[in-house]
Amino acid sequence: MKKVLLLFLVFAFLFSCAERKVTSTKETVQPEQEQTKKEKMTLPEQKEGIAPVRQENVQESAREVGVKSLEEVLKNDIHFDFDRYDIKTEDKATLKEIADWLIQNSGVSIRIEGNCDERGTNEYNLGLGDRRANSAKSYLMTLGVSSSRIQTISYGEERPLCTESNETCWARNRRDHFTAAE
Amino acid sequence: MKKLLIPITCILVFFIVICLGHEAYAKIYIDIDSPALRQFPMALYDFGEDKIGQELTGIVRNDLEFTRLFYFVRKEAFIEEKGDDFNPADWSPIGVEAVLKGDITVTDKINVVVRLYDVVETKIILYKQYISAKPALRSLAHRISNDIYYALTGRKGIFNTKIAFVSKGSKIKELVMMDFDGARLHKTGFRKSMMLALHASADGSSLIISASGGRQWSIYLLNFTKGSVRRIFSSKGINIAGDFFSGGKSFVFSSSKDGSPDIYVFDIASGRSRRLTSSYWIDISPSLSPDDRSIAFVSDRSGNPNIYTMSINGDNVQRVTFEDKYNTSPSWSPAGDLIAYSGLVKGKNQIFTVKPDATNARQLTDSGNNEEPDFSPDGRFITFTSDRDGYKAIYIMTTGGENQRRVSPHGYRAFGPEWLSN
Repeated sequence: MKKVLLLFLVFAFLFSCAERKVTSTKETVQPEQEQTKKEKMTLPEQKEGIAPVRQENVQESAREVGVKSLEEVLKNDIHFDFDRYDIKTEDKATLKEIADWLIQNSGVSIRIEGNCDERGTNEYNLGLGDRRANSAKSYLMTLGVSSSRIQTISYGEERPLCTESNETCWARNRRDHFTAAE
Repeated sequence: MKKLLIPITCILVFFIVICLGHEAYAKIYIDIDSPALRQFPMALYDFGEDKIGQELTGIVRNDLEFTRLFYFVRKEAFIEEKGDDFNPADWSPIGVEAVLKGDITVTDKINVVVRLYDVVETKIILYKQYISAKPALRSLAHRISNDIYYALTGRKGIFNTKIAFVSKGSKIKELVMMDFDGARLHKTGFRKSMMLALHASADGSSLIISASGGRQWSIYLLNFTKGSVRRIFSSKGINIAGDFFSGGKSFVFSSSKDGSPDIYVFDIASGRSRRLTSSYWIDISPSLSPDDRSIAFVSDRSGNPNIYTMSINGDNVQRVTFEDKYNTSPSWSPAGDLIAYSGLVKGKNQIFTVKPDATNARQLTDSGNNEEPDFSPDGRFITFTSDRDGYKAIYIMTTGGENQRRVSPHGYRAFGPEWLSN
């Protein structure tokens, strides 16, 4: 119990520091990158909308990164096409968020679990799941996360989220799932 | 060291077998290599009228019929009584070429006398007495089938072989064994949350298997003689067991320990591995040719998974499959003349065979998904996983795709069959 409390306090301290640090330095260090990402993400819905005030936007996204728990950052799976292991454009934001969080919170490691749909064969799917997990790992490494903080495991078709035999279900199962590593 | 539950059928069953007469094995009655094979017409008398006699008859008959090499003439057509002396004149008019007469006496042991007659040459070709303990009835029946099969074909039968596979619970997988016909299913006690890629040594005494509790993939070595389980290889990434070399001292496997999945050789005594392929692609599922000189494997180097062969040092890579876009699970036949694999056709996996020189690709299944083919020790049959009945289960068929049947129990979810040699 004591340990948990201590851990909580340490985290709370880290987060508060991170937030402050980010808000003060963000504008000079990363404004361009953050803005591009934000624009990209909001583009479809806000095509003719009012451009958000730049500074506010940056602060908003920074606070998100700082305040979110690891579980929240890792809650979104990324998905793959059948028999493919390349990272899709729409999943790059998810990976960026994970990378940002990890960079700001040293000492935490994650595990990437590569999964496949049921259509392929068992062994090949295990290989495919391995490549999927490693694709995400490589991507996080290019964003600056040390490889020693990323474990990977392939579950092949062994741990489906959904067990119906249709494309919607298969698409959900072709995923990398992220979790905190002990 | 963890202990396995050794099923009774894995312990050698001792029979007393007495040859009672001169056996003329020289003649081959059924040339199983002949392309124009007809079913050999036989007469089979019940071994006995009681339950145990009927059971013995049923097992022998099922064994021989499963091969599709024999045809049993209906008992109503028999002229001769079982107790009568064998007379070829009773049989040639109805086209019977061999007659099997067997008698069973049950005391505290089972005592069976078997006589197999050649109608054409008017002689006895098998005359043996078998004595065994009562619980060994099935083993005894299969032994008799093997002797009949050998007397008529000159080849070793597969009737006392077993199939190892993985039973699929919702959370846990377990290594299970059964007779080739699905009888005497028993659990081994080897359980993990994920398990696949079973490969047996040539003598059937050892099995390697890949398993994971959720963190890491390891290769385990199970020894049925000692009843032992040992984790022999583990690393980050995936580690998938492949075939043993003939001597049983080393095996091929695929691993992503150095990056993307590649093919390696593992030496059990030293614990060292040697890398054979080194590519950016997925190279996986190695299967050894019976002469230990070539490896069939899966690679997606063309953009989609296909079967390739290479020499044992990793040179001379040749593509074997060209049809469709998803060909996996290669398994080399014991004679080296065929590679069985699973190919995706219209969204479903089907079993194919192809010659190692990439000719004669032949589709054997067409119902449901069919995966993970593995040849019987005599190369005449293939066991595989199919979901044609709505759930994954273990099936067998002839190498030509005939006589496809589920052998694991109805409703029992299972996959990954490996046909053991004895």
